[in-house]
Amino acid sequence: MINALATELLKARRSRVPWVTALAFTVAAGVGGLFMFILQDQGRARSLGLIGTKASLVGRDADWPTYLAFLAQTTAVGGMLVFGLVSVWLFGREFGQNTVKDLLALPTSRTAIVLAKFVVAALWCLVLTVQLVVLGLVIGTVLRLPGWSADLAASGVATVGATAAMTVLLTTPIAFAASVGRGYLSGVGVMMAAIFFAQVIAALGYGRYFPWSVPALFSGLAGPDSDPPGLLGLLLVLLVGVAGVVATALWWRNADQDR
Amino acid sequence: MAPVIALRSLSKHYGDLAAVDDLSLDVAAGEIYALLGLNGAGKTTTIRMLLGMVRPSSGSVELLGEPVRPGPWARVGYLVEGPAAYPELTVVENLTVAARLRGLWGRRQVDEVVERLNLTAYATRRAGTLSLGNAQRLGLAKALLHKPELLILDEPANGLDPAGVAEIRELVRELSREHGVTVVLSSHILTEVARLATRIGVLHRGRLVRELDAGELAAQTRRRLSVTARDLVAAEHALHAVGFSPIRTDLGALDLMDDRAIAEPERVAVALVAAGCPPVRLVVEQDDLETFFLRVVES
Repeated sequence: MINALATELLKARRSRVPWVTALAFTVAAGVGGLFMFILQDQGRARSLGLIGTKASLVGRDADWPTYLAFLAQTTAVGGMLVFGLVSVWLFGREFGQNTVKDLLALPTSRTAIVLAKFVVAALWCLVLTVQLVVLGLVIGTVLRLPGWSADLAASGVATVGATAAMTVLLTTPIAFAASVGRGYLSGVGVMMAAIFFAQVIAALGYGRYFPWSVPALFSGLAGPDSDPPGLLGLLLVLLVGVAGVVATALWWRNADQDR
Repeated sequence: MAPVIALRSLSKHYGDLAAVDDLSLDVAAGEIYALLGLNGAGKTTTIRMLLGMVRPSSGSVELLGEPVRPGPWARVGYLVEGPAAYPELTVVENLTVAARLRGLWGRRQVDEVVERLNLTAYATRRAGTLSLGNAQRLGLAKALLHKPELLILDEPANGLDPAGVAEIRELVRELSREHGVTVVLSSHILTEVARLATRIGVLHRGRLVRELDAGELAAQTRRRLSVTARDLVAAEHALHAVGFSPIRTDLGALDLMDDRAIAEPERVAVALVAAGCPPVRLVVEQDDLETFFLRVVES
């Protein structure tokens, strides 16, 4: 497992993809900061037209609770896209670049290789989440947002962290799809479908029963009047995460690798 | 002594298609065994079953006395269906990845194999920028990194220039001769197989239609003397007159199958010159794979 982990980390370090995902989360934190900046002065928001309108969708007030909630919601929706791409890249590339055949008859088992990929995906997403939080705290401090308290910050950071953890769990079926489809496209397809149906089903009011809607509900994206996802929703997320890992490992171990 | 590879009634079916059909063979230690066949004959499917990448529909595979799952992979090196490498990693980094996955943490093995495969000049080049020939060397380097007892190579000469082919041939011979490595390789190039293998299994439509030693292959792949002259009719008469039996081909040449003509083509040339129809082309040719195959299959 250590051998597989070392190779996966080397492959990730040499790729440009981590930088692309870091840029995406930097932009997300920056956009949230821009909205706060606009909301700090409503007159300025109105004078900016469309941007002012969009910014007002984040919340009415430019303060720490609003900004931390924005970061959690970004993690729920943007995270599905960015964390999903991490999984698609980690698994799909082996098929897209035909390197998978060099991973199949080794002293390091296929299961160890799959688990190492999931560990790297989790570490990678953890780093991105920490980056988002740190950038958010810096931006909020620079903007001198009101409403700071240590309890509020801890709660906000915990919400972002929990949302990120749930989102990471929900990307494991994307890794499975990229493996079964032997490339990037099937993984991207499943990821887009999950994002689309998460929006639709949450809008219909059944989000708590659809795992991919749960992180957004948990982060408060549906608004203060909406119910949190509850224990069932959280269990469904955990179940999907575990099922994705198990299915991917079994597929790598048992499926014919004849292409 | 137990065979290094033992296949017993091995079959792989995809629906109605039998990619490999009831294949049984043994490969002894130190042999260079070639699976010879046209494209689609079942060579790669057989190799993938040897490596545990494809599950047989029926039958069994044993390598080095063990079943392929979990498999004796620390003692096996392989290259399947052309080389693949992580393009953004250098040659050395690609080999480091392969070494780590084989539990080798030192740099020595990587440096040794880089030197052995003449990759030193490309060691710090990204694999994505390598020529096909050097990418093939990198693939072979990964297969040889851990000094395997058994080497399984699928079309190892693909993409290499003639000098590269000769170099790989010599490398495989040396591994077999000096280190006792057993080699199983697949190829559709008859001349290459004839030069390298000690034993050959001919696959056709998934079945092992013939198994022969290298010496037998030389006897089986018929040679002929092909003659072209400006006046083909006169040349034919002249050759008949001196006791040869030329056969007119569709390509406007005369083929002589006699051992005497093949061994001493200069006598044929002298006879033609003496008859006033000197040859414009005189060459000893060997059956190509297709011709050999057609004869093997028809028989």
